[in-house]
Amino acid sequence: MTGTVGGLDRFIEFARALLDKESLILDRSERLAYSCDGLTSHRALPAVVAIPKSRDELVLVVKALARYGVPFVARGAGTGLSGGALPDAEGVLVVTARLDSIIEIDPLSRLAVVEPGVVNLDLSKAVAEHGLYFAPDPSSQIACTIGGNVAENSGGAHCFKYGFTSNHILGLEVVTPTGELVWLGGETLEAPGPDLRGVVVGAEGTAGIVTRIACRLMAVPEARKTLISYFDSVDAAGDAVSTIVSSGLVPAAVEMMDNLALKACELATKAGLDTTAAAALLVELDGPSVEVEVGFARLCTVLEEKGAREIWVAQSEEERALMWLARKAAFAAAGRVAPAYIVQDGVIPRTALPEVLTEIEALAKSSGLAILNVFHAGDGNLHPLVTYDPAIVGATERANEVAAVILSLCLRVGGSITGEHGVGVDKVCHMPEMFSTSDLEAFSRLRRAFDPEGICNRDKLLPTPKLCGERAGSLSGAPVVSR
Amino acid sequence: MTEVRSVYSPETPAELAEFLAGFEGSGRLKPIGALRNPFPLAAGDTTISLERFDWIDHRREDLTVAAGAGVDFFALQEYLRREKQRIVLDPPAGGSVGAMVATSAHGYLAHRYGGVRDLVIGASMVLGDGLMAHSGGRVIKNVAGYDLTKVLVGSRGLVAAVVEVVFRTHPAAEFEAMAAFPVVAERASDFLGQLYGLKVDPVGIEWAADTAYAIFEGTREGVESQLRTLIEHFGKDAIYSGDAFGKLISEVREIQVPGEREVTIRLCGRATRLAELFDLASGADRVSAHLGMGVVDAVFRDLTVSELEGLFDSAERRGLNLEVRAMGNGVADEVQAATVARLVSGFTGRVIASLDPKRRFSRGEQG
Repeated sequence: MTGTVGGLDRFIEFARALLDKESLILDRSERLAYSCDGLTSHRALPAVVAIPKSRDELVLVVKALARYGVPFVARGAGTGLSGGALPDAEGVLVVTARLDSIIEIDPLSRLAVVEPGVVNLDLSKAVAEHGLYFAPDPSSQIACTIGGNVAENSGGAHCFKYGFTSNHILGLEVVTPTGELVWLGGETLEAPGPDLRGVVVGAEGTAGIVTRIACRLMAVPEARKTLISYFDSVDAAGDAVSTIVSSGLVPAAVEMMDNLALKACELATKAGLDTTAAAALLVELDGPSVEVEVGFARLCTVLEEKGAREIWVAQSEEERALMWLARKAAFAAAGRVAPAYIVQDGVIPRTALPEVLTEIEALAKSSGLAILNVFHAGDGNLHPLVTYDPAIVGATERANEVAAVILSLCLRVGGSITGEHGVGVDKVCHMPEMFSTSDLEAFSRLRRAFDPEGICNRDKLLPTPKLCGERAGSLSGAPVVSR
Repeated sequence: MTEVRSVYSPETPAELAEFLAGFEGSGRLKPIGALRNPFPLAAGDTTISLERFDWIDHRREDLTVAAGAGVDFFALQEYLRREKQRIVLDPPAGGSVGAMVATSAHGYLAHRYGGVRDLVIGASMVLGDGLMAHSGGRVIKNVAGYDLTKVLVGSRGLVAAVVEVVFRTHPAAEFEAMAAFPVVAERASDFLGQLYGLKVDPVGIEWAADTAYAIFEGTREGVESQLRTLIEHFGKDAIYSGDAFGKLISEVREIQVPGEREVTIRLCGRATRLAELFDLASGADRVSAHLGMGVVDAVFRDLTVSELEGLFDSAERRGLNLEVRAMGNGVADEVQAATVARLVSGFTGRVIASLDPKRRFSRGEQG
């Protein structure tokens, strides 16, 4: 263990001198409010909560943590779904939410420099007057921070066309766990040398805390057209997705909902979804208006040829918003099916969709648990919602087992354990199933380069015998070995 | 050029890993792809040829392709073209897949699609002590583990030997065309501002020889509609499509490629600072630019180390990025050494050392 009681005491003494009362939380009852992030099944009480008000304070806090060898965890809005911001019970939770300034907007360079606590959607609102927006759009975008997006390399519904957070970050200022302040990347897509910016994005807060972020902005598309098409089978919907993609269209989003998800979303939103369909696809095209018109006609033709029984085309921006409201309500709507659920985030090659969905259906039957499927079909990012009633003895364990089997299934078909939520504490013990021992050793080397003392977001991302027991890594999924 | 002492040409990644695990030589290891990479940086004592890593595994329906590091990149693109797909990277010169990653090579399409950093979704590599590692994978959305592939992008072979790269593919462009407008360097930012104001969606915005090029792709109807918008605004113009488009694009790309004893310097900064970038490039023999990306490429002939250091210092003082993008044959070893030293210094050097503790790929280059 790196941290010591003495180190923590010295940090508290330092922090009392640096931070005002509102910025340093020592009271147990107040600290309780920070005991988990969006993954509420995992909780830990942080020893101290520090909420710096400025970049300088943040840097000084991390330098002191490094100096005294105190473990720490960074937290933005706490909306993460993998426990990446789960506090360290022996350490300090550093909350970046107050660093919420948009420092600069440069419309011609399509660039904004922001602090880590800026809420994702607030950036898009701030640059809208210039006809620009910030493309990453995780479902939590009304609350999640860009610092959190950077940590998790967050995705969203429009990744298929626009990529992930990493694709929209040009450069970062990071205070590393050794207390160094470094700028990685640049203010354009081009920066000399190895892309260390790209290492920090998605490092789940294990490489330090970002203090400034240069975000790439995109032009708001001239036109957007959105539809929902219904199918009599999940297979037919999956087949339609493959045909859309192989036809040369690059939709901004292709989302799929199965019948259970349709019913739950309709109950929650009254959007007018057809709850008798076996599956539905929400497809959105965007771009120059002529391009969208031509593409949309092709899209409708493909859907009809693939057996869509009905196509609902949004006739207005309000109707489009309603469609998205229904889709994005899926997680909350699962609560109408059962009192609790586990959401998984595995990814599969899109061609494996029929096989995987069939197996998930079989799992639901054999376990007796209802599983809602609502996912980003374009990029194969599944979000099966395994529902259960914690009041029933053994149900929680059964749900966890089913969720784990689904992850293994994703790996078996050549996929990944996480597409956008991150590994965190939630999936850390699945890492050896996806990565070989030597892969994990390489990851460890990289982590130590940023954090030689091992004080930053301990016990996350990389498995340890303490967390997961001794478990040899497999080589499944390694491209080379699969040859 | 330093004399290359030996060339090792493994047949499999496992063989390479074994070789590196037992390697006891004192010189630097230099991975090379198809042995015709036009962007040499520094000759190593032992060259590792990756040309036998020549496999292609294309999964058309999943929009991914895995390729061995030794595969010729343009040959890979030709293979994909027959499948009506492509990797949306358009480097000015050819080389192996491994070299494309190591040099972060791209062209105008990066304006729309991003560069190598955005299109590589997985990679396998062998570190200096023989440790085989991979990250990412065969799915286009994946955040499991550290993204080791990013450390390879732009690393110039100073971190590890790339064994295999997995790219995301895109559908082939249905129709391409571009419009050319006379624009002097001093007015480049103004031109960009006007173009953005027209709500068109170019895939690239290039500049060379006092001419700006707005490049479009998509359906014929969509492209022609956007070109009409440009003509209405800018008036006199020249439109290129089909063979004429291909010929002109090749000519623009050719400007960036260094010839004998030439060095291509890439200057990067915000698009609002294009004038400063052009100013820094004022002593060059040829200049071109990716306007929308804030990138100016300047080709210098017979550049000395002190001139190069002067350029680095000027860029640093102004808060602009500079990198040596490419070198032709016959460039002095000292210029190459100075370039590499910049890449492996400071924090970056420490990260490289963590992955390659014995500095086998960057030995003697600790800036």
